[in-house]
Amino acid sequence: MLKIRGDVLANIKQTFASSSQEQGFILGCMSCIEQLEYCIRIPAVQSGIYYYIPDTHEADRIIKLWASQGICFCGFIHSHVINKKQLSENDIEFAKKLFSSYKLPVLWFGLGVFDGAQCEIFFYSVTQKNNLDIVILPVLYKGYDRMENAEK
Amino acid sequence: MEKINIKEIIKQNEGVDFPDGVCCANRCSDCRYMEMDNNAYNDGTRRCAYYGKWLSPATPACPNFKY
Repeated sequence: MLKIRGDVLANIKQTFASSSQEQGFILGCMSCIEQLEYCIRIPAVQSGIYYYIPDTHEADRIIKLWASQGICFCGFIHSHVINKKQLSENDIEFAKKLFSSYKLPVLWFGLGVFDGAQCEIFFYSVTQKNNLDIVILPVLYKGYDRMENAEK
Repeated sequence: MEKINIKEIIKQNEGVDFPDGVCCANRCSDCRYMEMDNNAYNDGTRRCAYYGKWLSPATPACPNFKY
């Protein structure tokens, strides 16, 4: 099961709920790829109610900074603000593009759906099957407190 | 999942650039949500938030849409 640090999850939810436009974060890990411990919001070069185009230069800058600190980029999450709870075809295409670009055993692709009252978070794993097809599957996740041992 | 060396993954991705992409809540061929923005026409013309322009009902599925 995917684990995500409680304050990271709270930060993402709060940010998604604060805007009527789509937003996105990159996600990082340090101890284990199944444990999301870091997130940074990536500003949009363009965004609206229906779309979000991340600033690739800023994402690059943060990912390289993370690398120098031993933090591994391993995921991406963006919001939908029209209560659409599924990934769109463009989302899926972008998830595959991210996974193809980086050499990762798994890429975590998240979706935060803000319906005007609360923010619901979904996570998907992006992996490669038989070194051929890229597979995107929903995954269960749980938050954990930064002080507790997430390995438990 | 087998134990993965995070430092090794970081090293392998040193020269990788974050790819261009668009996260779009709706594929542009399915513009029914765009109609919510329509307060100027009553013939089904929709406003595309991405292009920032009006699209007639006969407009094909966003032929110019590119990453």
